[in-house]
Amino acid sequence: MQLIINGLVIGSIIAITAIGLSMIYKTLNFVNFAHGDFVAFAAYIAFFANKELGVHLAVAFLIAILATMLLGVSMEKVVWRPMRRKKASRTALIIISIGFALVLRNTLLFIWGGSTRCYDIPVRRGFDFFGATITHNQVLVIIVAFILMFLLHYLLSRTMIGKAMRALSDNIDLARISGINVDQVILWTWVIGLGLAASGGVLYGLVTAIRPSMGWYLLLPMFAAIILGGIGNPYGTIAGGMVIGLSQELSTAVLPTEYKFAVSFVVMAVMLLIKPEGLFGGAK
Amino acid sequence: MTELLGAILPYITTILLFASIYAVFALGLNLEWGFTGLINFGHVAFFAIGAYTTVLLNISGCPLIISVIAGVALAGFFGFLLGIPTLRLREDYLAIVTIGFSEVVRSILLNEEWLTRGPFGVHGFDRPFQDAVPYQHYNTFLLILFVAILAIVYFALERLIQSPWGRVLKSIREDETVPYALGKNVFSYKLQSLIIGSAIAGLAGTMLAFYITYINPCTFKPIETFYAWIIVILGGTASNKGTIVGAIILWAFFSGTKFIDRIVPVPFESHQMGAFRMIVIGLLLMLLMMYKPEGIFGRKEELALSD
Amino acid sequence: MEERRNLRYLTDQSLGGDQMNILTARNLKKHFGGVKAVDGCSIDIESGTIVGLIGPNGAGKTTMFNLISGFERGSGEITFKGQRTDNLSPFKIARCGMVRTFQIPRALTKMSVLENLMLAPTMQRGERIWNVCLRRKKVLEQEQTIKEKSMGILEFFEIDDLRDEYAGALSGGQKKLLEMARAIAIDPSLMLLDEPFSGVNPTLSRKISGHIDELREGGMTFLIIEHDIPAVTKISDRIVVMNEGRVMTEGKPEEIKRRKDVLDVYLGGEG
Repeated sequence: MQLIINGLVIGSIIAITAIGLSMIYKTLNFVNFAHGDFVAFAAYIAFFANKELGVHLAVAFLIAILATMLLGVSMEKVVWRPMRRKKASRTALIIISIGFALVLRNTLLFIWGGSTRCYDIPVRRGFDFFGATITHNQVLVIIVAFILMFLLHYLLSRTMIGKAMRALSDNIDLARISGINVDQVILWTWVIGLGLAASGGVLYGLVTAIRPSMGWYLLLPMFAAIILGGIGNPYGTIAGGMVIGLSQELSTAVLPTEYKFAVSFVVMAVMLLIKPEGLFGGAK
Repeated sequence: MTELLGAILPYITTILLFASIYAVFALGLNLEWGFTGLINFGHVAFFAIGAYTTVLLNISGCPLIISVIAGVALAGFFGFLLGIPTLRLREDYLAIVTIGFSEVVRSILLNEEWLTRGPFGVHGFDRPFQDAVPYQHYNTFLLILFVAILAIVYFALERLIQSPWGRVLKSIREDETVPYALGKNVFSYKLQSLIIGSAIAGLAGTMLAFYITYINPCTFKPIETFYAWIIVILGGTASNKGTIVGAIILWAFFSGTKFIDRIVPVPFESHQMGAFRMIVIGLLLMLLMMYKPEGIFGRKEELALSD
Repeated sequence: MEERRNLRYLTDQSLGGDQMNILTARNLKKHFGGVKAVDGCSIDIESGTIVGLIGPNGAGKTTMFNLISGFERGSGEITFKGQRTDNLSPFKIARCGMVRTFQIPRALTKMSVLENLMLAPTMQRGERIWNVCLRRKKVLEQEQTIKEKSMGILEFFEIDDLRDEYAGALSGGQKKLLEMARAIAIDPSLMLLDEPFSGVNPTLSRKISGHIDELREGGMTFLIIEHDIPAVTKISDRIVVMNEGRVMTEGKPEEIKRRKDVLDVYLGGEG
């Protein structure tokens, strides 16, 4: 039971962080290897605002999201858009993103050092739930994650920008000739994708220690989630995230905890071998 | 003058030793990425497999030469295993899977103490000709040996890539549909490239172990992979000569930054130095790919990217 | 005359089996979601002929090509030189002697023109890594033969002066020629040409049809997708018209030109 609860908590974090990775993968047709480090960046900004500036964690949460979005938008304007203009190959974009990942992670390490950090929040005892202990933070994570997923669903299905985003990820050329402002929508994809990633990062900081490498270790489960769910399919990604989160935690019943993330690697490799388009369809 | 030379010489030997190890390591990547267009973000895993297999076999009593061959072969074999699920798919899947694989390998090295001695690492293994060469000259001997290995790897690779076999690899890098339509088994060639590249990384791992005489899981952090990437891209993708020059530049840079605080005051602490170095590597990777993807010595025409 | 002699050994006249048809395709089908791109097409190609495949945009011509050359999987039976090929991968089909070109030429831009050609011949000794390592002499010998042969083809297409240029530096028309030359270098018995005349100036267009004609004289068979109706009807022995995923009609070029329904399909399709 305890493992299931932990799995759900981690799963919902993987889910909301991976949605952005998946959307950007599909829309811009490249894998952003810096995605995990955006997650860590958000957690550090929240930590900075909360602990060093002394604002309430809820405010810090918003500041972190805004800062991450801002960073993402500037990257789009300074790097990705010019590179698309130059018709850079997908592999060039991947290498640039891994370069940026190194820069971002080591900047965090440079400023805040390698030791673990946590927010300035009171430690409260968890309560019993069918024989398992569940902490307030875990409840908070699940609630916020579900609110965000619901908001995303509303955005994608009801609003103009959401529909344009889906059209773009289906077929970018078709979207362009049908009069959608592609650059604008791509910008929104970054904003929303990284907004979700940032929220995930701040939430992750609630249930685990904040370290510069936290995003790096989240990257592999995120990849596993999007491959499981089918690239570009946000609902598949959510399901994939849950599956990965649960299987990681449940694996600790039989395997040493150090191999948690190896589980996502194995799931991913098996998936690629038997059904590379994902359990729930999506891009080929 | 001789005194100065005497002080500098060991220092230069060190740079060249590391440069030759990493040149071999990066030549493996250059075959995969520079000539075949495969993105391997887990190159370090094969480095580690080569090193660990060799030293573990050796300390359990296996002759050195057989240990080295086993290390190289096992590294190649893991390249084969990883290639199977990924090389039929889009190029980015290999990147994702290899980056994951390198972390899995490292966590196995850390946690399976019965096999790898865990975080304490391995030492006390033989080094080639250690009894025949006097201790005070051993590094010089090692340098000669490593340069010879580098030369062999270099000329073997040059011969391969200039053959019809290499021509198929290059055509895959350019546009794999073309060789496919012309009757080439593209998947098999990609697999061969990955196997050979990984085996070369394994050989480099063995060299590293012989030089530093003590390896532990921290020797094989993911960042080693990106040392190889920066070497290849600096020197000019798809240029084996450039790769060797890139390796020398990188190690000169590393040694330079280690001693820079003796020359100019550096406003940050020692633990920050490592992070700073990585920021430089990351930025360099980004800027080179953005503005000078052909590298410093590469020819623009012979380039796997853009287009 | 020099050219004609080159040509002789470029073409492979030996056919497996005794049938007249080098290729038969029966009841090919390919659906993309709800769209029936190819919906029950059959086609026969007689050895040593030039067959033109025409039809409006979206008629399923390119999908048909992809099915025949193995780049897409659908249902139906394809027999090439007496051998079933509908379950083979493209590279295996190419080794059987069927080669295709692409609508937009795919030059290997960072390789020289000569290298582009030398890549093509199948089953080269030096493509196997152990041969490169162990039988260097034999590999080099064969390499020399392939080089001479490639130069012959380049001369035939009159682009031999470009041999050392990077393929990426060629003009559009030159890339078209290179694409054809490279395909011929594998010694095919059947060539599938995807729009060889599109985007090509009239002089070059005449030159290309001249080359095709000459190669056919040497025994090669052609299936050509083309939008340039005058150009394709002029060289074809037979025309197949596709519309909405089916073969609408087929016949001699003169007959097809006179058919009013074909014209209607075109006008309807374009409009």
